[in-house]
Parts: sequence; C-alpha cells; structure tokens
Amino acid sequence: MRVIAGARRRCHGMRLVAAALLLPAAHGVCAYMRVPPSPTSAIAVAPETATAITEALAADHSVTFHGVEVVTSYSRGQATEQTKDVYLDGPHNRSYASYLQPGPLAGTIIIENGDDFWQYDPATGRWLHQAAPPGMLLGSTSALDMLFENYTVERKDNATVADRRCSVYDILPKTSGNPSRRMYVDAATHLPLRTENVNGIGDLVSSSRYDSITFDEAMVASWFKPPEGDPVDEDPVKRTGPISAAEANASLDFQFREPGYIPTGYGFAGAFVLKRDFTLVGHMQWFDGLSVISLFKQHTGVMLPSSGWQESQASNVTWTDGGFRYTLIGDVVPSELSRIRDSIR
Amino acid sequence: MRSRSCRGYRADLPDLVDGRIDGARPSRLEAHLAACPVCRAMVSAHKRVKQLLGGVQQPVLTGSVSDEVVARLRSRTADHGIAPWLYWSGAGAAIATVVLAVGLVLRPSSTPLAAQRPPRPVLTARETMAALSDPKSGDLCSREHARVAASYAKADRAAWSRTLAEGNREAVRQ
Repeated sequence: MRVIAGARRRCHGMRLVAAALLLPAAHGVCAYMRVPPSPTSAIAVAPETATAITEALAADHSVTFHGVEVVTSYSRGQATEQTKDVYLDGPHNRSYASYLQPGPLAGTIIIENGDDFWQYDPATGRWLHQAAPPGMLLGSTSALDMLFENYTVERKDNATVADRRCSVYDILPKTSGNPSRRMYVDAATHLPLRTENVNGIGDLVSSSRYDSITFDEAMVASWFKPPEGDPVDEDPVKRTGPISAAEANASLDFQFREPGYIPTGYGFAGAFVLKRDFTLVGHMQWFDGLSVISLFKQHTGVMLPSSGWQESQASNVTWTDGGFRYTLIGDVVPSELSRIRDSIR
Repeated sequence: MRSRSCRGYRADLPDLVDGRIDGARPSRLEAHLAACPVCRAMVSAHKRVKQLLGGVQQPVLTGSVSDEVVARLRSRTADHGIAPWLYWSGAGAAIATVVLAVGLVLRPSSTPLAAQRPPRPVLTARETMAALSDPKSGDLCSREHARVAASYAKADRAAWSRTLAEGNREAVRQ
C-alpha cells in the first residue's frame, strides 16, 4: 500500500509539472505549425503523455545535432532504404542533409533554412530553390488539438536507439482505418530518434531511425545555403495558397469542389493552385493532426481516356472522369480512398 | 471511313486549341483524338497557326477606319477617273472587308468574361502534346503531397524525404 501511495504521490507531482510545461510547449508546436494555440490543447490525453508528445513534436526546434539517419519506405512488400548524414541547427531553424545511399540519390544535398529550401543534384551540379511550404488553414483549431482529438497515446516499454535511452509511445487512431505511429523519444532531449508509420490497414509504410547521433555540435552558418557561385534554378512550379476552396475555384479554369465525404477526424487544411507552364492543377488537403489526405485535379489531356481510367496503389489512387484526372493520396484504408473518390461530384 | 467520322469532330478542333470547349464535347473529342492520328496532326497544325498568329503585331489604326479608306479611294478615283458607282461600290466592299477582318480578329469570345484566362505561352505542337499528356503529373502530386505532409507533421519529414528528393530531381530535369 505504501508503495502504491508513493507511486500515486509521484504521479500527482509529475502531472503538476507536466501541466506547468504543457501550455508553453503546446504554444511552441503551434507556432511551428503557424496556427494559433488553443488553451484546450492536449486535454484528451493524460497530461504527462501529452507533454511528452508535445515536446517530441517541437524538439527539432530546440536541439542541435549531427547524426546518420536511415529511412526505410515499404511499398508492395519491398523495402527501400536511404541513408542521410544530417546536421540540424534547431534554434536557427535550419538543417543540412546529404544522401549517402541509395546510389541514385547519393550526393544529393537538401538544405532547409527558414523559409528557403534548396536541393543539390550531383548529376547536374545545380541547385533547385523552393519556398518552404506555408502553414495550413485550420481556423482556430491547432494541429495539436486535432492530434489529441483524433488519437490516443499509449506509453510502451523503454527502448534503446543509437545507444540512447528512449521512451516509446504509440499514437493510435480513435477512428478505425486511420493511420498510426510509434515514436521512440530520446529521454534527455525529447527528440524522436525512431519513428514507424503504419497505414490504416496496419501495414508499415515507412520508418526512420538514427544509427548514430551527437548533440550540441558546433554549426557553421555557411553550411546552410548553397556555395557562392553555384548555379541555382528557381522552382518551375508556381503555387498559390493555402487558400479556401472557393478561392481555388476562382483561380482555376474548371470547377474544383470539396468531396462529399472525408474520413472522420480530418479537417480542411487549405487548397493550392499549382501552375507549371500552362498546366493548372488544383490541390486540396485535409489534416487530422497526424496525417494528410491530398486531392489533385487537372485536365486529362489527350493521351489518357477522358473517363474510366484508374490506377491504384495502397495509399493513392488516380483516375479520369469527365475530361479530368484526379489523384487522391492518403494513408487511410483503400476503402476510405474509394469512398472519397465516389463522393466527388 | 475515317474521314467521315472525323468530319463531325473537326469543327471543334479550333475551340479545343483555344481552350473554349465545354460540356460533354471534350471527352468525346479526346477519345477520338486518342485513336485518330490525322485529327491529332490537325490539332498540331491549329496550334502552329495560333502560334504564328500570336507573333503578329496588330496594326494600330488612327481615327475612323472608314474615313481613311474612303479618303484613299477618293484619291485613287481622282487619279484614274473611275465612275462614281464603281467608286462607291468599291468603297463599300473595302469598308466591309476591313470591318469583317477587324471583327474576325477582335471577335468576342464565347467564354464568359470571368472564365477568360491570360494568354498561355505558345509551345510547339510536340511540346504541347507532351505537356497535355503530362506523364510526370503523378510525380507532381506525390511531391506536393510530400511537401505538405513533411511540413505539417514533422515526424513525417523522414518518411517523405525520398519522395521529395526524387520528385524534385525529376521536376528540374523535365
């Protein structure tokens, strides 16, 4: 009994500390997401767990490290692995990643620095410059609100990743058919060192892990921009957004309406109008706090049948109808993708 | 046989090139174009003509067009002694021709004003066909989805990095 009482007192103390940390941490994440924070953030999950997840999602804005990251993508039973050498300067919101493998990507460099994104192609010796994606349109709801509204978080046994002690959390959907995630969060810095993404039918879609990592490394500002004199190409795709569906409609030369059905928990997160040369593409997106569903619409062109053509994979489906090509991407179960498709007018 | 079935579609080809085709016509027309190389070649030809017309400078007309034409005809009749009835019929025909030509060039579009778009860049027929078929559009969608997913859900950044890296590389090489 004494042990239980002691445990309860410690638990209560942890809750108080967690509650004190909760709102500032939530505010940090919301600032990253560029949506206003909500005072009700993270109330649907136990406070200490909510705090841990909140800190984990915001950790890469507070830590500085150099690590080797291995990312594995799984598609149709095949795993594809890529290895990157990563430098992250969280407080200055900048990172440098150099691909070591696989062969076709080796030598590719990705630099993110504030609102700028550069990618180096070793085959051409040129850099591509893009603007970082802007925030989303969620109104007064924060991404964190959505996460804890739509998912529960379970604490699992501790584990070791890159020789560091990690707390393990399962982020599980409240609605069957939505994706889930397991996160291995570094106990000292709160940085997720391993992540496993599972789609709505329970298949592992991707995983990432740091094989080695050292924190508080000195960073040099010149690493986080292309070397002077290197050729830089601007992004050939021009984007307008995020905007409302009505605004997207006004900018496109075709009707682009929201589907009649979107899976439970997902909220409209904005539309984009993409323009490359004279090709116009409408893009709508929905977010549930963890994953994104995207719908694209554009003219079919003359090489595809205008209606009745379809190509499906586990997480995306492309089809033609009425002279338009649609592409739907999301980690929900395929039957949900089909239901969205069938609700498009 | 082909020419008979093509005849019904050919009247629509200029509207297709101008982007002024709507209703159920595009799907029927595109299905036909997918099967008919002759009509596809005609689409290319229309586009080429449009490209050539796009490079022509429109003449700047000052004052009244009819006054200018009448004045020139008047001076010519004085020079060559043409009979008045011939002068006026010639003048009428000339004015009608000019008005018709100007009307054809500046004819109002059947598309509602709100739906009109700025002129598109003119491409060669080959480039146009390639762009219309847009074989990389799937990559564009994956890349854009990866951009927003990586941006919104930080932990997805790693998962989508390959899509982004490979997609961007393709985008630049196109």
